[in-house]
Amino acid sequence: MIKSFITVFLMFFSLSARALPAQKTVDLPKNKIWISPLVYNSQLQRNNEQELQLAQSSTFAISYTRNTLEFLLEYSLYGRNSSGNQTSNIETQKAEWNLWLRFLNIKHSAQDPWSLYLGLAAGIYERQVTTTFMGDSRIDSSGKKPQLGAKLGVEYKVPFVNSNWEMQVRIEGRAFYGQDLEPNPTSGAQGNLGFAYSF
Amino acid sequence: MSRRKGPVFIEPREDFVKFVFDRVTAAIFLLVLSLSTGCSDSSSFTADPQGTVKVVAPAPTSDGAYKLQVFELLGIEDLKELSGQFAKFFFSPKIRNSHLEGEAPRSQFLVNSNGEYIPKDEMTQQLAVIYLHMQRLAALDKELGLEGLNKWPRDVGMAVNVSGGITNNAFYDGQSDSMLIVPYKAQDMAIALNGGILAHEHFHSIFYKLALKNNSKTEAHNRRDFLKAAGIQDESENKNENAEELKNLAGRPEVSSENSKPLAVTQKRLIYQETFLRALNEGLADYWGWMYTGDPDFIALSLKSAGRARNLDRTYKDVIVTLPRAADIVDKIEMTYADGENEKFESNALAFSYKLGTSFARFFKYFAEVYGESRQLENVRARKDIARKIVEMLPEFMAGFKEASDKDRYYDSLDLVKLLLEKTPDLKSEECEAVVPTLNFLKIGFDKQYSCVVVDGKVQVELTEVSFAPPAETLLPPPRENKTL
Repeated sequence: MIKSFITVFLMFFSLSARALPAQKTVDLPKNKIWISPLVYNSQLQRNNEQELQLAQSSTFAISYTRNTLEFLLEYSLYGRNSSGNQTSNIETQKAEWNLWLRFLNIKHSAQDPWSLYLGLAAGIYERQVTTTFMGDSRIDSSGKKPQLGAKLGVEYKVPFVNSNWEMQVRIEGRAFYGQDLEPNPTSGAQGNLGFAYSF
Repeated sequence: MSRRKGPVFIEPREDFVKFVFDRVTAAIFLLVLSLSTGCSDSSSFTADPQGTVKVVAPAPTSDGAYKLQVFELLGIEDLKELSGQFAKFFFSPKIRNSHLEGEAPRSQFLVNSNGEYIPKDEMTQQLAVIYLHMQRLAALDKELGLEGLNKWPRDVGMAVNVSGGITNNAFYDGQSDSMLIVPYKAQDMAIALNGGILAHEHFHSIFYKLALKNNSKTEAHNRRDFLKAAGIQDESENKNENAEELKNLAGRPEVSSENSKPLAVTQKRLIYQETFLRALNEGLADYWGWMYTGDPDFIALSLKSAGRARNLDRTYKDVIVTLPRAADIVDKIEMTYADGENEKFESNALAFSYKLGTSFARFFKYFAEVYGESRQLENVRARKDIARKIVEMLPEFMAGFKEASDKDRYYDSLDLVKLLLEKTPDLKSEECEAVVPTLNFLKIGFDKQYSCVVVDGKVQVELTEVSFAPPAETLLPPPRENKTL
């Protein structure tokens, strides 16, 4: 698993290295700031019945793009997952911060509104568990744990007329690998609607 | 460096951006690489070399109260499955060739800054607590001289698949030698967290091996009904044989509303034996639950309605007078049989067994308390001493039980109490006085009575003739002389 992860990562970098010189021929901007106010983000997490179920998060993301390389900072706070009953209850919540490198290096043409992309992330996550039993309760935290991420997605751009603004819709599948994740790797999906400003 | 034409202020920014990009990219690459190699173990969830893990979960304190606390699980071999020297778990298992088969549940822990393992879901919490109790029950077995009787780790089925709607229960299955826990849907303490109920089920494994196995067709907790109702797939090779055997459990007759024939003597005796064995099994298992936790109402923590009927903390007088007599059991069997309908008969017989079982549990609890007081022992020590006597009694009880049935006789509570007295050669007078009313309640006939005597400095129970001279106050007044005539 680790070896394959490293292999995939190095493959991304080699793709990126090949793609970067080519970008010099693209006569397009440039620099972009992107922000996404509408994000659907979910991960497959194991529930009390030992089944994998989608856990959704509130996610905020902002990015800076230079040509075909994007730095994206993302924060996700997942919904509380509760199991047990009135006497004994366990509630967990997970938050994560990821720094993504997104490579728009599988592109049909500069003007094509569709783009495929790959992404790699290094991040941290923290989980909090609230255990309640017969009225007593305690809160424990995992502390911040490292995780790695990879994603593959498709982007669709709609430029606004006579403006530096454009709307972007992105849909992607993603996987995280990290210490103490369960399942490991943890897979998920994200769809978002964002706005980018070119300059 | 070639530079594109453009506004001057763009130039340094572009350089700066490239400069930053290169370094940030390199930093991320290095971070990813170091994490990848650093994560080669993939998990920090590893027990220490001795397999010890500190877990936070609900467990009973020394005074029997349950609270969240830190405890150590020992001998953990696989933390993901939470299996080790004391328990092995199966999620929603099947029974195949007299063994549980199924995937192991996946435990999910969070490790806090103190290195304590915090269950992240209810299932993991239950696995940890069951493991803890298995670990403690293994130590208790050893203390009571039962080392080697049970196979360790114990097999435990979790979230046992239910098709017949059985919830909120736990069972011991003798053939697979496993504890089976069905989902808990009530709002009280889950059965999997209830140490008393786990000890109760654990006792069934002891009773099965010391008394039932190779001796009787009677199973703890009516295996046939349970497997049928719970929808557990029994894929044992000899399942047909088992099914037939269980169907004709101890020669039990089929009951129907159309069948108005009275029970044959043989059938009645067989049903009596089954009822008595099941009652004793349940009763002693309840004693085990109390002995292990010190809580006489441990069942009510999880099953409020059953707890009321099975609370072991009753007045002593009640305990004595309700110990079952053979004649009472037979009467009840006949009455239940007369009601007809097989299903009803079985459920009523089962409920009756539990009721009788509670009497046994209360009696042994009462004796343990008197035993402790008369010898000035700590309560926990007295509880264990009586448990040790029960362990010693079981093989002899079963031999006596078989002998009685060979001689077409009903083995009843009187025989059992006498056996307890045999196992208490250093009987104290307080203990004797406590038991004698029970013996007198159970005896047949009015011409003899049990009493305590001291022979050669030893307290003994003796059966003596009773004088039939009625008490003075009950004598009729002498006939008056008729002086008027």
